[in-house]
Amino acid sequence: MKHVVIFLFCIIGTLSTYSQEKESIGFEINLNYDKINMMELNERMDQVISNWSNKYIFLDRQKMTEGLDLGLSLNYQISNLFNIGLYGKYISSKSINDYRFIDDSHVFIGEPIDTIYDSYSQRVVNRIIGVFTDFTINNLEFWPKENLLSRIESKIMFGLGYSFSQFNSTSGSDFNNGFVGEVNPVSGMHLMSSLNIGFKLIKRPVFSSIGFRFGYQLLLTESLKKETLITFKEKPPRLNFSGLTAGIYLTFGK
Amino acid sequence: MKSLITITFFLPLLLFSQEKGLFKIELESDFRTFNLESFNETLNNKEYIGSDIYDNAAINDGYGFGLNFSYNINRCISFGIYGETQVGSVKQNIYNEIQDEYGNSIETITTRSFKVQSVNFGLNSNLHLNKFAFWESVPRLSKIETILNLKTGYGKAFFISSSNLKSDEINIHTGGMEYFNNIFTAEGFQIIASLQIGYILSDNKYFSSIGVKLGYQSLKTSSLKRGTEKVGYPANNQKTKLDLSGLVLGVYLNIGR
Repeated sequence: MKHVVIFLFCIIGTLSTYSQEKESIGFEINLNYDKINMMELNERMDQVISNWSNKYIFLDRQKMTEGLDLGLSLNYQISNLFNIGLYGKYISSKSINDYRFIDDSHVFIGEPIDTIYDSYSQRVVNRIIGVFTDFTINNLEFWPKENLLSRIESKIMFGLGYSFSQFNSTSGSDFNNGFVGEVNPVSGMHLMSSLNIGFKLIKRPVFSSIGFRFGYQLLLTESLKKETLITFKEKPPRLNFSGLTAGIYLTFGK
Repeated sequence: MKSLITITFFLPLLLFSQEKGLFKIELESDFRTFNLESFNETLNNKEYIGSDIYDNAAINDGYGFGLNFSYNINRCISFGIYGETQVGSVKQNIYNEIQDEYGNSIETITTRSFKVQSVNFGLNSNLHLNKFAFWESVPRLSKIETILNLKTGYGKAFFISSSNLKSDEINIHTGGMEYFNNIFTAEGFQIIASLQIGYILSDNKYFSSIGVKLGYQSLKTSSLKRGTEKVGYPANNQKTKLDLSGLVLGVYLNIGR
């Protein structure tokens, strides 16, 4: 009888420790660096540039290989081990190509050749909304409950979303303060998975943690629009934001 | 001295352990009116339209969507952060005549699309009137919540225009004109004060309420500029500001614990 009581006490005691987190709601903000796979866009862009006049001399041809993303998720702990929620992300990548243009269009009226220095820039932005679930490793039996490791959290997350993406191009290098240029909208599916490792700053009555996340995402859109007056007149590429991601996160909830 | 240092170091944690505050996530959607009279005059300025025959265009209202987080520091007051976006748009047809190779007149319609949008974020504070003694003394009102809400923050505004040429008589290939946008930006300080009246759906383990809100927004921006050269709108030497001030009327949903 004594053993049964001790056994039940251990079970209930363990569950009591878990119950502070179950059915909690919260939000997470994260900032990530992404390696992206824009080979298709970069190669098509090289072909487009090769068809430009010889008067354009590229001084610095930058290709899109990396991006930054800002994410926000709302989550609900449905059980001790699983969390579900909604997430939103804003991912962007930019390439600035400096060139020199030899303007000899007015030589015939006696004006000298002019050298113009300018930039041709491209940007891809993705606004993603989706659903996710994560598995809380630190709530498993084997995870220490008493020492410093009890303040470490570890989760594996999977997400599925839809991306409203856009390809922009303009002369100059500034997109953030307005521009005149191409806005080519496309959409695609987004899949992501990550391992989050963090430190619990506060556990009761509110919870808050900060940590790092490492993962992989798949984001491939349909082909961009093709038209005679925009960047891609034929064989427009798809946007491929697939690759490794790494970043930091902050959670808060109750 | 040692006790004082210990208490000061652990005070934030003590505060959190003593407070049984409600943490809420709020979603809101609303209809908004804007005060864009002087801006709307630029949309109908013949000097920049290039035709005498056109529809008058004006952006007078739009919609907003927001997400707020708040935490009750005591029964009656909560603080937090908010993020939102608002948008208003209009289309304008400009009628022109061109001649084909035989000299026949063909009517063309250029449809210009205009959109004013802002993305805003800042601090959120609430005064819960239904938590005061005078309110709680009336049993019938126990399920009704009344909140005075004040948001103060930063707004980044965008004015986006594009055009598309078409004709009912001939097939015009625009070459992708509709994929060109002209985007100007401006910034401003936003204040929204509103009264929220809602029904408390649950208040046991989770808090949930739904209701309506009526308020006023003040958001006047700097002059619209484009790019690093800060090109002005509608012409380089001109200064046009956006005044998105006006009424806010909408619905909200709160979930908290």
